[in-house]
Amino acid sequence: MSTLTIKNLHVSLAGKAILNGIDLAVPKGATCVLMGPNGSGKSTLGNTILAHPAITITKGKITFGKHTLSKMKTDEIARAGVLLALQHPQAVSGVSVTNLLTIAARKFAQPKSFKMPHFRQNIKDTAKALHMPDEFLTRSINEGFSGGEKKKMEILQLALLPAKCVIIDEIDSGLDIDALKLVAKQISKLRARGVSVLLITHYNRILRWIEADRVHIMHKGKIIKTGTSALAKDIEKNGYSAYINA
Amino acid sequence: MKTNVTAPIGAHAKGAGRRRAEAGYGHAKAGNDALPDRFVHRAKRGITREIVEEISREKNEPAWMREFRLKSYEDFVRLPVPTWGPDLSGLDFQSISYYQRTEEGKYKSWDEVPADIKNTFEKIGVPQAERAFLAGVIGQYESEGFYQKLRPKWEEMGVIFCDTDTAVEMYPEMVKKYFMTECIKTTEHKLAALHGAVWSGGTFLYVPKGVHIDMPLQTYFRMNARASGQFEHTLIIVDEGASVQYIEGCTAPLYHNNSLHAAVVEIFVKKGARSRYTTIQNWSKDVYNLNTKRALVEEDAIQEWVGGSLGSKVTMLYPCSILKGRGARAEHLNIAVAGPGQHKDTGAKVMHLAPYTTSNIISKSISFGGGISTYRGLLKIIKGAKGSVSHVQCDALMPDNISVSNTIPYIKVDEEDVTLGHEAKVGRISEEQVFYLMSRGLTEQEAINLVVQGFMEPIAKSLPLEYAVELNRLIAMEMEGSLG
Repeated sequence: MSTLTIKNLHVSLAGKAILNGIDLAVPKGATCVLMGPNGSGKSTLGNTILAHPAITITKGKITFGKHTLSKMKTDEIARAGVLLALQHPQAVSGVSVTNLLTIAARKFAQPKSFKMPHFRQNIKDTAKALHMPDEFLTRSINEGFSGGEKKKMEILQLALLPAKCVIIDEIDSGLDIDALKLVAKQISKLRARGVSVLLITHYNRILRWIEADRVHIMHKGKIIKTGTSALAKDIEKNGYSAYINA
Repeated sequence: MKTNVTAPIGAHAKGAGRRRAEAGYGHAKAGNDALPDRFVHRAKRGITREIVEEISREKNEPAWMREFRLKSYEDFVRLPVPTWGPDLSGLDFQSISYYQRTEEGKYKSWDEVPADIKNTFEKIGVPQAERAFLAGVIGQYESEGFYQKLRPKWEEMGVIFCDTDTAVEMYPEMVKKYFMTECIKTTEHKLAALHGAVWSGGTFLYVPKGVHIDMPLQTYFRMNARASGQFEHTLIIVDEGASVQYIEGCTAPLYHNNSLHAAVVEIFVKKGARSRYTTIQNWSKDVYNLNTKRALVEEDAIQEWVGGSLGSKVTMLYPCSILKGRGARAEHLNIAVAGPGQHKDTGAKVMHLAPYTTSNIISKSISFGGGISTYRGLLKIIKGAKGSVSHVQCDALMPDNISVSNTIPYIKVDEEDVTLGHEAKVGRISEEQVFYLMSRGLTEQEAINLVVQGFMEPIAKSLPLEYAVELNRLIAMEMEGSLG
């Protein structure tokens, strides 16, 4: 397991500067939380780590252990073990999550013990743990799914692919409290496996079940404050304004 | 696609698309040059009365068929080239060779087949199962053993399954009754007339009353078939209460030297019968593929058309169901793929001529690299065909900005008591979709292929597994330009 390191990262999207010098590290096995008001650039950071084609890095770099992610393509980054749960997962007509996962699983370096039938069973078991009915495994992925169903679908995929570091973008929006608990449980399982987590969120809510090592506040494309989980609690109580206007 | 479109694929991908396109073309030429001529008889180029007579003589046909050919030739001369569809001005009827006989049954085993032929099959993606057949190897392919075992059983039940030339010889009364008499006539259009004059090969299939054939009959199961002609005539008669599935495979790329394919398929689905006709065709990129396929569907009978159309320069293909009996039903499922320099004008024609008839049409197309695909549909419901239901769905997928997709649905309804539905959707492969799939570790090409595969899924799942796999592979190959 390696550390995800972001150094002096400047990023633009459609010609507009979005991130203005981000320094951030997610040590191996750690859980870091990235909070901030709407439009602060949180999701852009997640997408930048995975090399979204619409985003241009103008300065700085991103590394993960020996890999320089900022020079790699999305699929190479994923295969290096850095996976992203998207804020807005896409629907793909005629392709089920089972199709996608069985194709994807073969793309990763898998341990010798990896067996496809076993993997298929894992898909079913994980779906069950997330209280997802079987039909979700054979339907077109994300097509006609509710917001909550899409989020569960993201966690399902992250749980099953051999991740080393996961970036989880607003998994808590659209989830009711029971679903949120189930999702948090899967995230805890990842942590128990030593996977490092960068959790992007608006709210403190999910932190009731997930213990954060560090909390960062982002505003206008910069990290303006770093603290512990106490910082998240304070924000829940007092809002961002105290930090933004400071 | 139901998915909303956010952005077309990025500049990088577009560039790659063009490169792929060029690579694809390059192969088509190289491939053609490399293909050997292995014909034992070949008529002179062009079409004249004498050539038509020569074809008939070469085949040792009875006088009635020769007369039929000559009459068709007169219709051909008289009728104009259709101008309502794609541009056919590049088609020169006098530069085409209309008849050739191949070295039939020359090789006794797959090992004896020359390497160049084997390689060609490999390159153009003919399924393993069909390669042996195409090479004229008889008795080697395992399915034939299967077929051999089944054949006596079918014959006992009165099933006839042979090539159409043999049917002319063996079952003249049936051929006289059904061959271009009622379903498709030579007076309809120039290409049907040409077909009548120069037709050769194809399948003759008769399923007697009440007989259900539970395994799909495939072209390459047919014994002693002549691997002949791009003017093949398929004649299928499914008698009352019988059922059959017939599959024609990617037999096309062999006939690379000729630039016209004008097949005719006539299907008679009698009262309460059920027929499914499936074809996956992959033509070399200089072929005009102009076919006429039609089914006459009687009371409570069902006709299903499942088709995949790949390759060719211009394809015009609109399988037609004439629902003439009360409660008759037609299902049309078609996919057309138009790559660089290709024009696919495909669709469906359905005539509701009786009450409570149903048609369901799903037409999908993929245009890429500047290819043009057009859905052209004709739906007619006559006065008195009350309670009829028709649903048409056209889905187009375009992975780039330089390709074209058209939808031309023509609907004529003279009855008020009907239910009609029409949907048309055009989807692009969005940057967000590709990013999503790549974020799971798939390469860009794999991501695009997966979106395309998903798009074709409704067609693929109606095909036997080997064909579904083959169709996916062929399309991925076309789009990658990885031929050669």
